[in-house]
Formats: sequence, structure tokens, C-alpha cells
Amino acid sequence: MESMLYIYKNFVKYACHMKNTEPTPPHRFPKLTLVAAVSSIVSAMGILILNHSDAINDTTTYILMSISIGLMILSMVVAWSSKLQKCLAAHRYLMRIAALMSFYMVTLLATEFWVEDSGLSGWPAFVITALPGLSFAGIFWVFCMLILEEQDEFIRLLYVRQGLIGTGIALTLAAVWGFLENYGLVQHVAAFWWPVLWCFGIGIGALMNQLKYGIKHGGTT
Amino acid sequence: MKNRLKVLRAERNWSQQELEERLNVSRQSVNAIETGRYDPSLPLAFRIANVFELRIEEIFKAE
Repeated sequence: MESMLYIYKNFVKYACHMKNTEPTPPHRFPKLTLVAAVSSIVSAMGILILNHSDAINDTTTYILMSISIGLMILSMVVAWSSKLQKCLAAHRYLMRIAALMSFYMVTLLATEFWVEDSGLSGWPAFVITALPGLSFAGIFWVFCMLILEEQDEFIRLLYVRQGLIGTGIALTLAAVWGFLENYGLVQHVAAFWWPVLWCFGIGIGALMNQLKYGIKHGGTT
Repeated sequence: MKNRLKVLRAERNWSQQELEERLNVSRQSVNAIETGRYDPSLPLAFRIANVFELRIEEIFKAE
């Protein structure tokens, strides 16, 4: 809860800062917004874990989840007002990711409530349970659009490289783990973790871009 | 591919930011091209040539 308040306070500071400064230079992400968006997802997952371990009851869970979703919406609003006019592709990417993360959290909450707690079954349960997973299709679409809409060819190259690194890491680990699991050497891992790993791979790709080109995306060299 | 971008920019007393604005690319791009870590596409090479009012082969040389 403290971490969420900390993020919220930083958001307010950031929003005030944005109002009093010139438009953001090209290719500069509002990083705090992204951090807050990811933090709200992690918080939501933490809340669910706490609920499953009976540390908090359902009502508290839904209240905390609402705060988490609220923070996500706040991140979208801040991003919208950040005036990234010169960096349209990155701005759109941020907005789309924020919207998808909101969708992911809402559908995850809906699945927990209707399928897990209320015992919904049949095709409605099937549809609702599939929705959080389908948000990953959106994640890939958003990344593709980022590459297509980016006007700067060098930055586009960095995005493609990042994507390939992320894909390579996720698919290789999935294949290796699959074989290990098949021969009983490791425990079963739910398949929805592989696209999550792809997202981490994207982060590793950014790090590798920085190592190879000495360029911190969003900054200057 | 070698290029004379840094020298040409220095001759005109342009900062990286100035060149970035003239070319309408990011600072990262200008830096990567100048240091030879990235070879620009043909359209961007033409834009660079136009900005410096030179021919492409006067800026870029095959190694």
C-alpha cells in the first residue's frame, strides 16, 4: 500500500512538473508513467496472492484492486497530457500499453470473481478465462505498431533488435523448459508465463542495445 | 562504411542537435552514424547529402 502511495505522490509531482516545462524532447518516454503502469500490474498480482493465501478477505481485495486499476487509469491520463507531440509512435505505444494493462487487470479480476469465487462454468467461464490471455495478442500488436509507426530508422532498428532478442529468449527458454519438464526433471510451469518472459526479454533487449550501441533509449549519448 | 559526417558538421559549426533537427532524426541516429555504428538507408543518405549540399560519395566511402 505504501508503495502505491509513493507512486501516486510521484505521479502528482510528475504531472505538476509537466505542466511547467516545455514539450518533452523527441524519443523521451515518461518513464515514471511506465514504472507506475508496471507497478500497478505487479501490485494487482500481489493482492491476488495475498487473497489466495487468506491474508486479506475478498472485500479488501476488490478495494485494493480498484486502487490498482485507478492508478493505471491515472497513468493513462498523465501520459495523455505529457505532450509527446514529437514522438508520436512512443506516445501511442505508451497509451496502448496502458490501455491493455488496464484490460488485463480488469479481466483478471473478472476471472477471479466469476470463475474462481462464484463458480461460473460452461462457455461463459471459457470466454472470461481466455480474456486475460488475449491481452497478450494486444501486446504483440502494440509492439508491431511501434515499429511500423516509428519514423526514425535507427530507433526502428533498435526496436526490431529488442523484439528479436525478447522472442529468442522466451522461445528458447520455453523449448528448454519443455524438454526438461517432459522428462520429469523440472516442475510444470503454466504456459501464460512464456509471454510474460517475452516482456522481460524485451527489457533485456533494451539493455543489450545499450551495451552494443552505448545508447540509452530516451537519453542522449 | 566510413563517413565524414563529424568533420562536415564541425566545419559548419553545427551541434549534433542542430544536425538532428535539420535531418529530422533522433540524436541517437546522428551519433550512431557519426561513430560508424550504423549505416543510414539510401533515403536518409540522400537527406544527409542535401543538408550538407554535397554528393553522397563525398560524405560516405566504402571501406
